[in-house]
Amino acid sequence: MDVIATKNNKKAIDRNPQEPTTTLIKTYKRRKRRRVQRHCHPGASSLPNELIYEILLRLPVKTLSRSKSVCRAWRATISNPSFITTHLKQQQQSAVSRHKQKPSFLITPHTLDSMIDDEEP
Amino acid sequence: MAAAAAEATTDGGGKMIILISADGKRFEVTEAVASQSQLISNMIEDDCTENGVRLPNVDGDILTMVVDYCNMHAGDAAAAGDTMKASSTEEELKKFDAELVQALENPVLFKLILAANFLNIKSLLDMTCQRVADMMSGKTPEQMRETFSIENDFTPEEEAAIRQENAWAFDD
Repeated sequence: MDVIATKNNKKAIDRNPQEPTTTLIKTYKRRKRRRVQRHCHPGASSLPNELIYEILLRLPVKTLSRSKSVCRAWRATISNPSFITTHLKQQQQSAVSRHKQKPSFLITPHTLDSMIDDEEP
Repeated sequence: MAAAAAEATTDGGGKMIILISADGKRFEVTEAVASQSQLISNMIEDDCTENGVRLPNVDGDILTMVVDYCNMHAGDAAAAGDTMKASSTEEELKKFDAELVQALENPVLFKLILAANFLNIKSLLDMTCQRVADMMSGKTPEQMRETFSIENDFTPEEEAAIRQENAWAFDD
C-alpha cells in the first residue's frame, strides 16, 4: 500500500511539482475508493478482487469466456496474459487430480495479436 | 473428530488453544488442529496464543464450520505414512468436504471463503473457491453479476460486441 502510494506520488509529482505530498496521498486514496465502489453495490456481500481472481482461475473455459461480459474489471482480468497462463496451469493441475477432463485452454484475440506482432520484423 | 482425539493423545496430551469468534464464542482445539491455519501456526511459533486467539472478523457459525473442517483434516499429515489408512480416510474426507459446502448458500459460502483466506488455510480456500466456480458454470453474465453484486459497467454496444466476440460460449 505504502509502496504503491509512493510510486503514485512520484508520478504525480512529475506532473505537478508544486502540489504538496499529503494532498497527493489523499487524492490517491479517494481515487482508489471511488474505483472500488464503481464495481460493487455498497453494503452487498461480495469478495475482494484477489479472491474473485482465485475463483475465475477455477472456471472452465466456456464459463470463463461468458464471464468476460460481466463487467470491465472481470474482462480486464480474464484477458490478461498472465491470468491466461496461470489458468492453463490450474486446469492442468485439476485435470491431473480429477483424472477425468483433458486440460482446456483459452485463446483470446489479445494473445493472437501479440503473437502476430512478434512475427513482424 | 476421531483423528483430532488421536492427535491429542499421541502428542502426550496435546496443548490446547482457545479460538474466540467475533461474537465471543469459544472453541477449544489442539495445536495440531489449529495449526492447519498458517496464521495460527505462526502465532503458536511466536508464543502468543496463551490468552486465546481472537478472530474479530470470523463469526461463530462460520468458525464452527472451520473448526469442524480442521478437526476432520487434522489426521491428514499423520495418515500420509500409512497407505492403507490414508486411502480409507481420503474417501471419508472427500465425502465430508462435499457435504460441508454442498448445502451452503452464497452469502455463507463467501463468508467461509473470507475466513479461509484470513486464517490462511489453503486446502479449505481451494475447496470453497472450487465450489463457487462449479456453481457458476451454466450461469449467464446477468446471473453472475447478481451472485457477486456487480454492476454492469458496459455500454449496451460494448456488451453486444463482447458477446459476439465470445458467441460460442453462449450457445448451450
